[in-house]
Amino acid sequence: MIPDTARRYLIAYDIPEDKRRTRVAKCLQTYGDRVQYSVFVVDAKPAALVRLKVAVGAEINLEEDSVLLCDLGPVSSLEESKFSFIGRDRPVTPNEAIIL
Amino acid sequence: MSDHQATERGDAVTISLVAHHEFCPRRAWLEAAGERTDTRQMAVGVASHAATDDPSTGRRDIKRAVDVAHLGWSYTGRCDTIEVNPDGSLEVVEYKATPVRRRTDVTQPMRTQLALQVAALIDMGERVHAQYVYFTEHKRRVEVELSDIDFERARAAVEATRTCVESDTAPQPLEDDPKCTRCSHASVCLPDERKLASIKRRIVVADPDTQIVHLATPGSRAFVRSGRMIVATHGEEAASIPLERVQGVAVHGNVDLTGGLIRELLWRGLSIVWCTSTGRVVGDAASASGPNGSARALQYASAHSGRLDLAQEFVASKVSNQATFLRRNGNAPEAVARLRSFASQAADAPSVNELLGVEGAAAGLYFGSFGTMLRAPDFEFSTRSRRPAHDPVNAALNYAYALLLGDCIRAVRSCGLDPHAGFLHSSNRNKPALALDLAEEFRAPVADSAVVRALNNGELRSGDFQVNLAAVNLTDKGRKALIAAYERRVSTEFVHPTFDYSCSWRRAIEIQARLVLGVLDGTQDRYIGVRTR
Repeated sequence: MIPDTARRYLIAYDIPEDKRRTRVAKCLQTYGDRVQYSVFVVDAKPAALVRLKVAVGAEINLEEDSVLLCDLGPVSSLEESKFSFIGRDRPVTPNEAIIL
Repeated sequence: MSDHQATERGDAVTISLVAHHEFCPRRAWLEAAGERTDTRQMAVGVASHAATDDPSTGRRDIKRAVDVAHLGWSYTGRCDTIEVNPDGSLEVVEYKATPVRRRTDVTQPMRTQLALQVAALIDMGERVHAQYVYFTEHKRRVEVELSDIDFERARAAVEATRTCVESDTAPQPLEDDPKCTRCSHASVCLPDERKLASIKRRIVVADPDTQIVHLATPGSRAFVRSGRMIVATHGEEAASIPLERVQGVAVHGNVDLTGGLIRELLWRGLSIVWCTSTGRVVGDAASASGPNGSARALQYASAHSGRLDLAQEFVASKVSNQATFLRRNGNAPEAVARLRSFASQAADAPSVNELLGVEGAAAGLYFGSFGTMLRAPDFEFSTRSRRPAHDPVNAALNYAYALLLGDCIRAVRSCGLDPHAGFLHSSNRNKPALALDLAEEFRAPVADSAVVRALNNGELRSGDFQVNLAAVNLTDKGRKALIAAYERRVSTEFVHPTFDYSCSWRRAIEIQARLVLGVLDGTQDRYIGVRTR
């Protein structure tokens, strides 16, 4: 059975139409963080990933648009060094309690 | 359940409940009690039905989401898709995702489900020509032939389901059944934990989400915008968190949440706990659709008549954990030995009053030696002073206990119990008594441990406290440091002493709350507290 642990996904999209692109971006930001204009980092448990795929699938034109999901592995085993920026970095929500 | 409630629930049998019952009676019970889990199976099930959930997507020859009822057998249900043939006869199609089995097998619950849909349609005067299961992941339709035996079996299943969900007590979990490994409800059913013994197989990788958001900057304001929780301080955006990542919110002191955010959190079934900046729990908010309403009624009855066995176990494990914590970190072997004997006295205490006496004596002894655990020269500890705190150590302890109480409130709420009806603490003092009961066994290993570590390794320094005449409080910075230390402690994994699997302390709090629930609803013989070794 699939372990119920969160995995990190790099999600990128190619959507020519402005309206659909905005809607997909809005949908993705409920699940994760925008790190580039059309690239998101999403840490999601299996249930959340299913919801994300359904929600994104409902927004896009399946003929014309493309959304790439790249599974980077379980969040607990990710090495921070594998994730870096050159130039400005964009914060990714940490995978622990958030104290503000 | 009393008779007037039974009649109210008597017509509540749905086809989906019968299908759950065919899989496992306890799963039907949990579903009827409103237990929901956020697992992949559940999400796939919801998603695969999405296309058939909207009646308006239907056409003249294909009807979607058709509600059906059988007056004679007394159940209701919904057909995913019904195709209407030119001659007016119907073909029933049930959509099924198979996220776990991955095979297009028509199982017994599916046969029963189809038989009930068809029987209801016939009862409503329709002609049914054929029935199918459509496997959404395989995009494959399988015809199912139904015989009289199937209909008779389905009718019996409705009755069995009705008897099950109207019963006073929850059905026992299955024992060592392979079905449990692919059941979406295993994390709330705890089939293996019922025996209160070491667990050989591991059903759920129950890594808890520890994405609690603590809002501790005075004057900040949190609101929701485009699916994200935004926290702003003095009009400036300080953080933005995707809502799917939030598992609970703790508010510390003077922080505002907007109504929209509160509604969104409750809609998602997440809880909110408010504390003062000095660590007093002010209140909490929980979603109205919490599970186990009837267990809650049993909880009130038990709290009213008293449950000495539960109270004994709360105190005995608390004192035992104080002894272990002091043995590991302090230097007071005599106190440890006496605490051990207090722990066994608590386990056999003849009344709650004597139990409270033992607890008080043990607390005096434990806090008398508490200072031997502190290594930092800046901090001294003489006696426990609750409110106001007379020294920094007491101020930190008060605050850590509030954080622990918040977690206990969340755990109690998540299994549908009421934090206010307790068995050791009195319920008539406007305190969350059950949450305080549950907190007892976790005080030393979670809260005290977080405080002692934070003081000893310099996360909390004397500058993190402010003195107000005789009262000592944490500064804003100190409060955040202590919250971080507490969060690190509560998300640490340890080996659960009863079940021998490793889980985080936060998950352990919820497991213990569910064991209390099991004792109350009659599926659990007794309660065993977490006793660290």
